[in-house]
Amino acid sequence: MTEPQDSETATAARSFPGLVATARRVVPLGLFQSMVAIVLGIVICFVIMLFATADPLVAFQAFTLGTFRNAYSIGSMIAIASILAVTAFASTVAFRAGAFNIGTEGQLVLGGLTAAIIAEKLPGPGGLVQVIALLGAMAAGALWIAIPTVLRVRYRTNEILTTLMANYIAADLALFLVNQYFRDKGSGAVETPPLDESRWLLQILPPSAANIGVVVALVLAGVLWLWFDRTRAGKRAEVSGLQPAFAEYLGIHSVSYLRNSMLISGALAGLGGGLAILGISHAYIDGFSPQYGFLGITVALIGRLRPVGVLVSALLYASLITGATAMQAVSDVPYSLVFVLQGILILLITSQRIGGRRTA
Amino acid sequence: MDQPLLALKGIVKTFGPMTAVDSVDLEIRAGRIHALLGENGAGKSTLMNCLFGLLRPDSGSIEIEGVAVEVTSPKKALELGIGMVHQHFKLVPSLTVAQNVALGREPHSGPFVKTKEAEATVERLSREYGLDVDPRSRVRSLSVGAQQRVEILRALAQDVRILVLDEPTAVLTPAETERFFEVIKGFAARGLAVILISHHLSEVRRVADEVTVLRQGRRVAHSAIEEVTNTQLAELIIGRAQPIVSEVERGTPGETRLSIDGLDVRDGRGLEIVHAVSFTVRAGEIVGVLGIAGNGQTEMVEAITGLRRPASGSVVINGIETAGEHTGLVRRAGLGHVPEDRNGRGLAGYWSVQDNISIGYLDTPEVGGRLTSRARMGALARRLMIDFDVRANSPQQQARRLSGGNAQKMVLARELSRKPDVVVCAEPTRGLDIAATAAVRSRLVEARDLGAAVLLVSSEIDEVTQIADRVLVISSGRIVAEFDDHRPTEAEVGRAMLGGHE
Repeated sequence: MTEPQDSETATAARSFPGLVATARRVVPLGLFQSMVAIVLGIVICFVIMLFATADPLVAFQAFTLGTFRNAYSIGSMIAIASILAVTAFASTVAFRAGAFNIGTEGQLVLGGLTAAIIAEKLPGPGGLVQVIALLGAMAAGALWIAIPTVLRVRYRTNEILTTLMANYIAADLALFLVNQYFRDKGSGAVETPPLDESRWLLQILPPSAANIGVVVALVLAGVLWLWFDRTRAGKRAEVSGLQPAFAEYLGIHSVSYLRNSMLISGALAGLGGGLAILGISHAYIDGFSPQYGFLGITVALIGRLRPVGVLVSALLYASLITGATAMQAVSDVPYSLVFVLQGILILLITSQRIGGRRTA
Repeated sequence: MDQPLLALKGIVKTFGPMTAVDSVDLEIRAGRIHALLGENGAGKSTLMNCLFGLLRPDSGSIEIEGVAVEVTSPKKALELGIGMVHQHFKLVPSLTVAQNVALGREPHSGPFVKTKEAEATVERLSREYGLDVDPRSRVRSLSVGAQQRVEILRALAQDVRILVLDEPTAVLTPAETERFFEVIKGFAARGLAVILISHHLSEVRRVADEVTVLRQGRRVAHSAIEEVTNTQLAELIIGRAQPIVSEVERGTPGETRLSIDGLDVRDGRGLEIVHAVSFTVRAGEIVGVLGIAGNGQTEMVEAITGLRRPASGSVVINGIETAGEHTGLVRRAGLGHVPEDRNGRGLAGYWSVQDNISIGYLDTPEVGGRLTSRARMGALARRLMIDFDVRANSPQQQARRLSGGNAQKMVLARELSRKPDVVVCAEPTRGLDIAATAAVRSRLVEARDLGAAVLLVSSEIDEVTQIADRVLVISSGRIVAEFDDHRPTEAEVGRAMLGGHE
């Protein structure tokens, strides 16, 4: 700590304690910015294809339109979109309350594992067990974010760091639990025994993976729209995140809203995990989530933190994911282009408006 | 007369149409403590910023030992031997004292910093000037007084000959202040020239050798301290008594609505900043609490409105004890609050005018109820925007796009339209233009006439003397004067504000 510092660094360092104490505000993108980000992201992907393959047009067509070649892949798209929407709602609830929950991935993984275990071990009628498993998934997600929440609310610990780190702990914890206690002895992979069909969520477009999880996502969208736009509590939660000093002045217990929003966010991420297990993979399989949690953050931001916007952006994003699978089949551009796209989008979004600003 | 160490000659600095400093001369001699007095906005800071290279004067010259110099930057100022200690410290809390003092100019051999040498320098200077700081302690573990001494050490380490101290005692406890005075007397004894900016006449009298008074950008007096009395200084600072006859009639007070008793408040650092303040505000009167900013008003208002827990004492609103209660309860007891920090506390800049207004009505059937409605919020916002003359393109306009005056009228619309029994407003016209200022003041008078008990906390003398029915003067966290029977003149309150009664 002996390198020279100019006075500006010194000032910044001085003001740092204040930075931790106040909420970060996420200012949603404008509609235009959001569309610019997605279009620009796709254009950049195309530029990458120009270099990656001899026939970029084929790859590009598969990437953008490949989903719609048959009913099966449309069904996959819907299944993925409903999970993405739910995890994006988890991010939305946290972001709008001024909490950067970057830990949806970990909450989702543990939620998924919990759902898998309940669905496998609990006897009883399928529908009831499914509901209990999903509730268990929500509880697990909420429990996993409870630690960063307490740290944030009580000790003002930066939740970006704690939720992010909790992802890695969650992944390894799940790996350990499955290996140690719940592993399917007959399988070579790290996974729990396959679930009985009575535990599967009702499929709506068989044989594709599309299931009634999409109804859950739609209902959630409606509930969140009501909560944010039509209830007093939603308004208060929003101002608590946007400007805590203003909220306190108005007589709002901003800390309670922050705490509850974080817990709800964790529960929704856990629900996403449960839906993925009961609806798509039908067992806990290590790596069952192609980063639904992290993708949900991007989807939420592209969807401008609004329920309807999130639904649209989840569909769009899911179609690109399914398209990427098709693209991999018809050209030599690999599926991982999806993650390149995600990185580009995050850069575009953050460069536009997301501020870690302090309130004055 | 011998040659002054530093001479400012005919310094002029204008900002647009406003002349902040108007051909001011200032002569500073080695070994003397020179106090610079004046109200906020009298030009003290502008003048010192010109001297320190933060601003370039429009005309005039700066001479050091008779040689004209150009101070183009703070770096140049330091090279010329001019050091400035600002009111707000610029230290790195996680570094040691020696590291802070040496910051940016560490003694080094190759890439390695000679920590020992840096520490030795601090130790030597600290001993020489009696500053008593351990070069190895971390700045964050130091008291504010010690931090200030580190800030001074930083200047001394550059071999300054002229040291400018901007309201140095504002952040110190009385004991730290005593100690600080000994230190700066030591500087003078060692041949440094010290320029001390202060608001407190009593302090200036104790340490200064000479005094210069600025008013409205002009130098109105310069003399040895023995040759002027405090009363004379107070009159010089605020100007001759100009009796402004207020056109606002005094109110007719009713029953007590707000009563403060023995209120003690500590600031963020745990120092007691409001001492045993007691007063009452009755329905239908405006009580003005007047004082120079930073004398505990902010903390007092926070304690009354529920934003800060008082150390002791009681706050009774409409018969309900609210001291230490959450703002929600204080509001339900009947409080409307126009906060000092308008943009940080009084509104959400990224919210629309409509949201900013209707958030104050959430608990009413007008916009609340089982489900809120945008249509009802919009109707409420449009109505109040007309009533309170908030000029925005539409209720959907973001609050941060409003002018200061319209933003404040929006806050008033939210706070006053619900006809609270008690209105607390702090610096309600700060930063507003003349028309908006007049509008805000007449709103407060109107609220009073409708029966509200209004507490007006302000540092603007004319604001308080124009519309308050009773005036209390606050200084160093205490009520030092009270004018009950008449609206005081500016000269009367001015003397009390500056501690001229002492």
